[in-house]
Amino acid sequence: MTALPDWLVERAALDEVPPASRDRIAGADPRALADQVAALRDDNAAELARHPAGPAVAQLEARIAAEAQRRAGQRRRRHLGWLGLATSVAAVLVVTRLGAERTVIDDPERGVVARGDGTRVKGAPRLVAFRQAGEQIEQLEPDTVVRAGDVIQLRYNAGGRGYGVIASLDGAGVVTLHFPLSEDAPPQATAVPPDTATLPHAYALDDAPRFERFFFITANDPVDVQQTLAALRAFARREDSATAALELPTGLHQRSLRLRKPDPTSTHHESP
Amino acid sequence: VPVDSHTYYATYAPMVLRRCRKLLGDDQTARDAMHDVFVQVLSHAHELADQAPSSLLFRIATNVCLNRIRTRRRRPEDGDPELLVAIAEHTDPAARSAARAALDRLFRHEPDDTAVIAILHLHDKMTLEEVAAEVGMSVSGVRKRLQKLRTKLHALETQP
Repeated sequence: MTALPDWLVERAALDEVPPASRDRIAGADPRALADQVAALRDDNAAELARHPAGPAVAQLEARIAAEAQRRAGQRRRRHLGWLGLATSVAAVLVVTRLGAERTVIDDPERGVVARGDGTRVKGAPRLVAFRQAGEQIEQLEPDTVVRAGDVIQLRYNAGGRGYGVIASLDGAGVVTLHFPLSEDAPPQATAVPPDTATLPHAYALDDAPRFERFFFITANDPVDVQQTLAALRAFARREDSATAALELPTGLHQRSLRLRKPDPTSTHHESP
Repeated sequence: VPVDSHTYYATYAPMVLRRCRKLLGDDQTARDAMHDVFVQVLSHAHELADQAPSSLLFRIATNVCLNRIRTRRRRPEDGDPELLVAIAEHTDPAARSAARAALDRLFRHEPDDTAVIAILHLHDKMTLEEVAAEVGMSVSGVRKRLQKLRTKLHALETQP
């Protein structure tokens, strides 16, 4: 029996052995092949744990969208500009639909994530914030007091829904997109991994006052990133944006996690 | 039915990464190449439903890596480095990248790339029959391509 080349072991691991290679597989040492296949599958799992598919696909989709946009721009400049017109019409239609279907879904204050994060749970999207405090990593409860410079890392689980957008709103009314990575990302880029995942980047809080509120918008279908951000930015102008529920189109669900900034009139820094 | 990007990536990305790592050596370069592969493939996701994923991705990954070797003169980690570099540097000097050419071939029914055939047979130790199945050619067609390449390589080796 001869050793199989790497590529053929890969095909065996994927159950995609081509007909022309079946004799080689049949002639291989079954135990050695099983060990090789198991090793590849372990390597697959480790690779996807280190680099989850969700953020990676989001990056890929953003690149594809950017490339498509660049090509479309070239065509537009070369030809008649019809694509821009079609996009505008589509945008008007989406905005109209958004306005017609406004519905308040979940109570945001029920959306705070439980402890024990790390296993797949269907039905309840979860969003967890962690703060690096020296050498320690601290999970942040709702309304924990956080300060400018604190480094926050988010973990999330869409609870069985296939798509999601994560963004935050601060007390200065600034909305920041965390997932997908680009505000230009197409709806397909909102695909989320089936299990709990960590955002690829932690970030430091700025000195915005009062609060930092994270929203995890989930859906069974791809989410329109631009429309979601537009809804959040409109929401940010409301006086009650720290506590109210975000109004979303039917089919979108929300979870939110609010962290508080210290009261500038207070002399101590305890959590409320 | 169009492929699901997430499932497609989760299923095949590790395999593609290992392929790129084997040809390019450096992990970060391999990771970049792997992303290039998926950008190219997923750009045509609506056309991929009937394609054999691992075979297609393996071939496109080979093309992307060959293109990077041509561009950066990187040396592969193992296999037959001299052969790889020779193939990469002396085949397909067309203006368009080899990777894009591979997709063009795939989707526009253009002829297969001799460099990929050479890598599959000489580096990956595929039989002529396996190469033929991989690239969708006849065994005799593959044999002719390899004979032509061997002649060309031999001529290059004997040049002063």
